[in-house]
Amino acid sequence: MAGFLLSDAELHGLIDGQIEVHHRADILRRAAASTIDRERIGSWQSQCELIRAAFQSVDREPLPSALDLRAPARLHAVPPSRTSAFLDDAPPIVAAGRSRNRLILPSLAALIAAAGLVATWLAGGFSLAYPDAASPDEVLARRTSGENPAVPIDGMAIQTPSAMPTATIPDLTTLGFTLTEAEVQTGEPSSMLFHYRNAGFQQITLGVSRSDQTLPPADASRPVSVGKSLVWHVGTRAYALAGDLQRDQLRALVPVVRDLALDE
Amino acid sequence: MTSRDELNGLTPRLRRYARALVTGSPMPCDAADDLVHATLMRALNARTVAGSGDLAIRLYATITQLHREMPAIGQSVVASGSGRPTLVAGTAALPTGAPHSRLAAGLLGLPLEDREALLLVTLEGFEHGDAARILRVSRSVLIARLTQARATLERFLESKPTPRRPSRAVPHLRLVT
Repeated sequence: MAGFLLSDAELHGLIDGQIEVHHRADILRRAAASTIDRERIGSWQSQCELIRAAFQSVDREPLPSALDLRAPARLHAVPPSRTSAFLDDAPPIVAAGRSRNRLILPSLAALIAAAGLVATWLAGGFSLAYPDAASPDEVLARRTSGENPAVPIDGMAIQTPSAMPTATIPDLTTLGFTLTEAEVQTGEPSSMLFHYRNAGFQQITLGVSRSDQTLPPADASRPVSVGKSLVWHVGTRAYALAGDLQRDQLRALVPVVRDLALDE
Repeated sequence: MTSRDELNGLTPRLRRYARALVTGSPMPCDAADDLVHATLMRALNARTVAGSGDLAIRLYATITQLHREMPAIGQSVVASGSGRPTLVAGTAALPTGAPHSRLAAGLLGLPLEDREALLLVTLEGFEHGDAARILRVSRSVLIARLTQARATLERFLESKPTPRRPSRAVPHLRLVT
């Protein structure tokens, strides 16, 4: 076979180091006999080295929290391009949702104004518990036992900023919506926002506020429109639901959300 | 080692591949990181990570497919000389000048299918058989794409960058009275 040009498979095998040992000597001998093959091998090997050298620094870069699966739960659930707005002194889980504040804040402010009752934060008292939710102790046990320590679980407890106690995320997976972010409003520690997204990339946001007074229960069955939100309140809690859905679709979600959110 | 550790171990390689695929450059790129993020989320949601020997192959197959589905990179489908449709990346923002920029321009100038094959083998070090599995093509098709990619890139890197033509001091047309 000496004297024949190398086949493409042999040529690439040689360049990429994928030639079987017993064929190697023969291929090298034939390559040495062909000026064309020698030139191609030299050129393409230089090309490989150029490409590898260009990208070798990427391996050493630290991973952003959104891509680091050892990061605290939920951080990696936020796409990296949305985490560039992190504030220096704010936990990422809070800051990741800031971009939506322009839409959510007016709704929430309207809710709070309409209720007129949200006042003082009950020290250590923010604790939402729902039927499918894991208790903080259960979550702690899961984490310490090493069982999926950072798997996003709708309904699991999250550790909010240091001033806040642990809260439990409302589980809307039965509606097809999974949590993407949880957010504590700056200056409004008695309010939390939960952002969800479904398979069709439609997004909804559930705002929950707590009052130190009991609100009239009648409104629980009749959500009212405030801006682009539907708002209602139950007991000492006020809720606001907004999102990408049509108003009718949003209204259809309210009873389910309301039922989920009723029980403590 | 848990499945998350395995995924974490592969993440830097996925970032490298994603950047090369999306921009042809090692510089940080949000779109590339989003691609890696989507790949990791898909792997986690599939819940088939643990104990899989070919995790790398499945992750690279996923990220390659997701990249093909990305609408924002200016891809268009054209017919190549052999008649098969070929994905060609948009070349609107080709960098020039520095060696890496020139390499980036050369990589972005390749048809996407050829670029995928070249990067999987050259940059990521996959064996030809595994790269063919990732791209879901036969080994001979992979070899053909490698040949095409290497030859095209070689021609590009050896060609001299065309200097920008200086603007004329004198207009082309003069008013003749």
